[in-house]
Amino acid sequence: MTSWRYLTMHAARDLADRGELDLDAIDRAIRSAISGENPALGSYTQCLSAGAKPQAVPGSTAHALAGFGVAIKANIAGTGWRTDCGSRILKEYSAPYDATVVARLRRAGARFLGVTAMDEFGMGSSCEYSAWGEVHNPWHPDRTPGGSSGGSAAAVAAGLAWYALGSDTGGSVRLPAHCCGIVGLKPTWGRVSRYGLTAFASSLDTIGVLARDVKDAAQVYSAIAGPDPLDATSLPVSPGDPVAALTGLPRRRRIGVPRDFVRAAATPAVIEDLERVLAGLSADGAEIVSVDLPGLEAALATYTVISCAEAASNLARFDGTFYGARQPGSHYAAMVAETRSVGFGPEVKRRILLGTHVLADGYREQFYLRACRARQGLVTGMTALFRDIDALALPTAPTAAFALGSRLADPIAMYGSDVFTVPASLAGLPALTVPTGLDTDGLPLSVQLVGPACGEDYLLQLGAAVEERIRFRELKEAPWQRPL
Amino acid sequence: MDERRLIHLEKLAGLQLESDERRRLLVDLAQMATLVARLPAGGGPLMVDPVIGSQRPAPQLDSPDNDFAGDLFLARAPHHDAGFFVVPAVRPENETKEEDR
Repeated sequence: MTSWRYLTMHAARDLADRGELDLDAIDRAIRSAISGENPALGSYTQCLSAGAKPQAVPGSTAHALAGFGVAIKANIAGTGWRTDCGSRILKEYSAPYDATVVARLRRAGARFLGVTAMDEFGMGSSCEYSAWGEVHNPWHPDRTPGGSSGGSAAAVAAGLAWYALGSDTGGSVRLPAHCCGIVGLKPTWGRVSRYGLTAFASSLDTIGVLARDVKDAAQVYSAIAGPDPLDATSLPVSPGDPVAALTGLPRRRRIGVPRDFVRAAATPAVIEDLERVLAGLSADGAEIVSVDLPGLEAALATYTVISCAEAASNLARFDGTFYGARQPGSHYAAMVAETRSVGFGPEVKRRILLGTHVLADGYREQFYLRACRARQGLVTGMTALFRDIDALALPTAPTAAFALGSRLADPIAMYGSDVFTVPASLAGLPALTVPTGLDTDGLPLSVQLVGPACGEDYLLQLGAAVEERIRFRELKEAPWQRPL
Repeated sequence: MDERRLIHLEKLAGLQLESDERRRLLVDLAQMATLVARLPAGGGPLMVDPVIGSQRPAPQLDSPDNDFAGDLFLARAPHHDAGFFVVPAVRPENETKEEDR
């Protein structure tokens, strides 16, 4: 039987309701486990005490999330912790307010366990670009947990949090979910309020969920999604009841697969795993069709230009005047340059400089505007595609979790980790990563399901069907099957 | 990109790199330029439908009269029926307006 530390929330709730599980005692045990195991894992950068703020709101015990401990990515604001975004420049910054997602979890009675490690400002795919050190993968300590929400994913996979919040700009929830063998949901852009999320690339940023299975992810998503008057870009559409929608197979199941695109970038093990998942869906009655979408091959370049341009603009505020740990300088410009040069890490500087370059006079048309047109082409293509199919299936990443340090010297190889996740980000579409199998090294692989705008309920239902067929959580190699 | 261009960008971005850091970045940025060169050529539209709400034209990024990115961002916000992303045009029937407050 799965250890209590690795139960899903819905299974634990059933046991607690029958009086067979004490959630308070488990919360104390998880906090104790964090103290013992986090130094080796590195998933948390701040541990919160059970008694300190934030506290659950009295009377909120009826919610499905009440009593369960959550880990929060370090770029999501909340009273009671530092929102340092994994950066030296914000090492002392504590927000005086709660992000909307934090306020909603607080109302639901969530317990806040700690703040998780991340690539600085969300810029990275391996969790090695944090100012506070790297994070190790619970499946194999020499492998990356993925990035940028690697601390959040590692905490959930290691049994140090029931679920976690991450942020996804170009794949930063889905890639860590893939590397750590858990479920990751990136909602439609605007479906979850970004109020309180430190901006990296505003037209791409979303707050997403990392959980042990699809039903847990649906419960968290339904708690945090919905319109928010504090975020002018939040969609005026409620999340409905995604948990209720999980029963049975979706009625329509016409699944598109961009096979040429996948074959060009993925390893044979990843392709084989995807085909196995598709064969299972087909056996359950789904119709699998090969699709070709022009623009997918250029999506990574398009994403790189747009995200760097927006990052250069968004991070301009960290200059030591209002935000950022100020460094001394002989005059204002020197103070700003010193503050930013000392405070930002190498990857952030790289992206700021590239973003500044593509926005500069004489280069804007050549790079930024071309990227905007390419993005619009992809949006148009995706919109047309979803008139014919119900979901798109592709891998989350071209490989399983790679070795820590192996891509640090090659930024292009690092960016290549996001090749399958950036198309949904550019089009603002929802995407769900569901673990599906292991490669020859025993590391997790996954399928990424992409749906039409606001198609989260459908994706979750389809993801639950994949999960039910594969039963990944029962694999004996998983960290949660090891004796404690 | 050469060193002079990089120093110019540093000034624009409020950064000051050490010389060895600059050398490394020049190599990295050259690689990134290779990636960025894969952008498709061509002059497609920046938005699907350049009309917001009634008949007000949306700001065009490449218009010399409108260089304000905020306008463009608003034009793309999904609140607008002719925005950047495609979202359901109608509110589901079972949804109350309570949550909009």
